[in-house]
Amino acid sequence: MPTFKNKLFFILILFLCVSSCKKDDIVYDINELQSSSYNANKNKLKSIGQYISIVYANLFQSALSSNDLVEITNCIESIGDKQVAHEIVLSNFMNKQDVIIPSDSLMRADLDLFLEETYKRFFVRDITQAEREFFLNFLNNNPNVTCEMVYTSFALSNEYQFY
Amino acid sequence: MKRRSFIKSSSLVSAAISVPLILPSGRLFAASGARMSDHVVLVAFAGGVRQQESILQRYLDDSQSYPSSGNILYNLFNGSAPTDKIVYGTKNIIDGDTPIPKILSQSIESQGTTFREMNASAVGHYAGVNAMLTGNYMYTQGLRNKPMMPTIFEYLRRHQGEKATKTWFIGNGIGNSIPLLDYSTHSDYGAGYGANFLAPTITFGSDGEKHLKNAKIYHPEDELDPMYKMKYFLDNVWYSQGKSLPNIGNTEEEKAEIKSFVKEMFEKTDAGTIAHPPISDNGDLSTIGYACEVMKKFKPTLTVIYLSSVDGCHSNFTSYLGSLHRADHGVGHIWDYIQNNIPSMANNTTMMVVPEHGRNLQSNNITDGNAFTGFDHSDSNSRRVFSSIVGPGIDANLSIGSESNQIGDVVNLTPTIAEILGCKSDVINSGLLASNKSLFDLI
Repeated sequence: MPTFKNKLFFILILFLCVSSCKKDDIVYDINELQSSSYNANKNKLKSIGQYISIVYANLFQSALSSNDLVEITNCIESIGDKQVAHEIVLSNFMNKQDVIIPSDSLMRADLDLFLEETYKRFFVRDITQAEREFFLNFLNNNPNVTCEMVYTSFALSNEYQFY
Repeated sequence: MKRRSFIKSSSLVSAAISVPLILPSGRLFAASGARMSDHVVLVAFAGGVRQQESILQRYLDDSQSYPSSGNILYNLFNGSAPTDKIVYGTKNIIDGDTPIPKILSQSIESQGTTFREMNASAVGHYAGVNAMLTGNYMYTQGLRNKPMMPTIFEYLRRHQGEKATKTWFIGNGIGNSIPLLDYSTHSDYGAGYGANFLAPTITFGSDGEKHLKNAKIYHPEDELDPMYKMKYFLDNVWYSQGKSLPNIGNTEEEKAEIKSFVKEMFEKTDAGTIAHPPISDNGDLSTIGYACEVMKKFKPTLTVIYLSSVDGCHSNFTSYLGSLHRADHGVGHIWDYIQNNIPSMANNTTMMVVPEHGRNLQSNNITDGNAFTGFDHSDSNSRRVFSSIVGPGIDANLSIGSESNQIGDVVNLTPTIAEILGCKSDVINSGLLASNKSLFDLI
């Protein structure tokens, strides 16, 4: 019988351990947000200064100087069609020596990884399956498309104008 | 010709004739109003101009109590130049002592019609140009906001089906909210009908030299085409979320033309071959040079050129006189350049020259190096402006109104441009103008 008592005691202890009170999760009354979800709840338009600072940081992995920021903002304001202005500024960036872009061979070596990283780098979110399908098809069917061209199209896209 | 082939070819011809042109407005055919000319150039002259030193030709007589009068705008108006205390020209021995030679053999006044005394109720720069371009006084609108009423650019693009590169707004700088005047926020018009804005002193100045000049020109088929395809895919995904950006609607070809124009301008700037006026020593004249290049390249239906250098009058009356004299030189150059260097616009362009507002009757207390006092713009004298119009079908040597008989208002400019370009009834039917009368209706 002592064996039965021991077993009963052990089961009781186990039951108490499992059913004992747990600490509540802390709730701050803030809606949960999945930051890397599709479109990532971006609904604010970047100012010209924000856009230029962010695209510069994305392409050069360093901060733009305040002088350059003011001058580039002026340049963009001086041209009415903002897409044209952005294209000119971006292609000017692409012509600089210190721009940091993966090589085309690296891009082609693992397109899946490249696309995932590009979406995170520019859109701060995960790529969807539909987007992955499009880009894999597009890049495979257009072997002359370079990493610079992909980066430029992301930097010119409307989603990139929002945060 | 056999009956069958006759029927086939005649049906094709009649179909071609009857296939309508679908304009952005949704209408089938372009407005049928006859055009007086195919191009209009509006010069917003030049940042707040007193009648006394411009059309009334009183020089220092009416501003500094110094007995010297005369005409310092001799490309615009008839009249002899001052002979005493010359400070507005270029430097020979001392600053301003040498007046700039006249460009036009016949003044704009002799070639066209002059409204000698008009009203301009908005006496701020942005509000003044806003009134000129929208045909409305925006009493409830502040700075840093786009016009609430459609601009003449939008009327033209919507009702005449003009391409974006056929309407240009060229400003001397990006201050005073001037870049916002390319289109309005009106729900029936807006960005899709806007003009191309350019501030060449910035784009091609030191900022542009540093950040725009070295831009690549991508190959249209091999590089731009796949880039745009990827961008349009990304935009479509984004658009499915219901978000879009204002877009003035330049086509890909137009965008390519603008980028190639920018590249070309940097090359011409380096080579010193921009179509600047003979004297080009201030921002207004530099702006005018690039405006001439825009007109030569794009042959716009409507070009608005905003000059602003005379605003220095707040604190430097001498520089005001110099800037006024240079703005006249610039206007002479524009007219001369159009007639002699842009064949498709020669004898087919109407030019209008109107200050956006005047300046005060009494000076402030700020004196310059010549001990001349400055003038702000806030009193009733600031509401007095002139207007000069020249071009096909415009009466020559006609003078309307006088100092004691005000005729015309800056809000009459929008219907005037619409009348010249054959869409006055469309613009009036929008029901959005303060006045349905053009300046021609007031003659």
